[in-house]
Amino acid sequence: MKSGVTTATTALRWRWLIMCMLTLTLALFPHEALFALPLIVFSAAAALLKGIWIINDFMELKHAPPMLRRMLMLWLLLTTSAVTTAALWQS
Amino acid sequence: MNMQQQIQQPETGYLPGDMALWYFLCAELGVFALLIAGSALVRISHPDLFQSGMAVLHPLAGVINTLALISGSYCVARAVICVRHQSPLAYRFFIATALTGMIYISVKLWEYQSLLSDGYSLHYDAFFTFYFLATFFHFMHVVAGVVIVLIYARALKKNGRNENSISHSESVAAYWHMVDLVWIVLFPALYFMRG
Repeated sequence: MKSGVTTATTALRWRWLIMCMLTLTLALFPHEALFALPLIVFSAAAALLKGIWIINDFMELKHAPPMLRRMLMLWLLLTTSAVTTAALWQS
Repeated sequence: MNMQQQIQQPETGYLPGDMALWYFLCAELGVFALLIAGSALVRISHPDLFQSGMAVLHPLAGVINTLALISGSYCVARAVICVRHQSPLAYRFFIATALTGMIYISVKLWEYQSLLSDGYSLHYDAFFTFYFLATFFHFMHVVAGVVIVLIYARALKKNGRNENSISHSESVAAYWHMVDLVWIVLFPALYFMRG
């Protein structure tokens, strides 16, 4: 039981650290017009990765009824696609 | 599902928290999805307004708020694990979650005050209408999240752990994660996805 707890908390800690680093990387990304497209793509990829980890590992829906997990994943995919498409359209 | 089964690592088909809460969370996510989709359509039709509006916002405030909410999600997830394993650290993790929420609230209030004092309001243009509608609706959810977490942490400390503690703590955590999930999509859309 103890090792199960340690594994779960270690995995959570790593995901949290990587999500923080992704957020900081976004802040340090060059914001010149030249980097607009890479910035949009990186922002979208980071949002998707963070969202997947929140749904699967933090919300613990990895083992939940598949219908619920799929609905949340679909929500994440649709909203991220909408904001990314609008940003790409603008650029 | 009995308590012993709940304490074990979740098995396939295990739903964390109350079923009714998930209906509520899905409805909330639906409302946010409509807001986000609406903003995407407005952005396509008024790209210049979004370009100039996004340039006025404070990216550092967005970054601090994102770090705060992500850290809150980590703390509340740890709190659930502690409740499952009867660790006294659960209370501290819930309080840490509430503190991250308070950081978010403080930074957001500062950002609102800064924008409003510069003359940007709900009626300024299409971008700021969306900005204030979406972020204030989300802000109210964070405030509610902090209140819920504090009430639950107090109850957990006062009454101790009982047979419903695991389900209740999972419900509190699910609400917090939903708020975090919405911000994860709003954050780049508002601060970084410039054309």
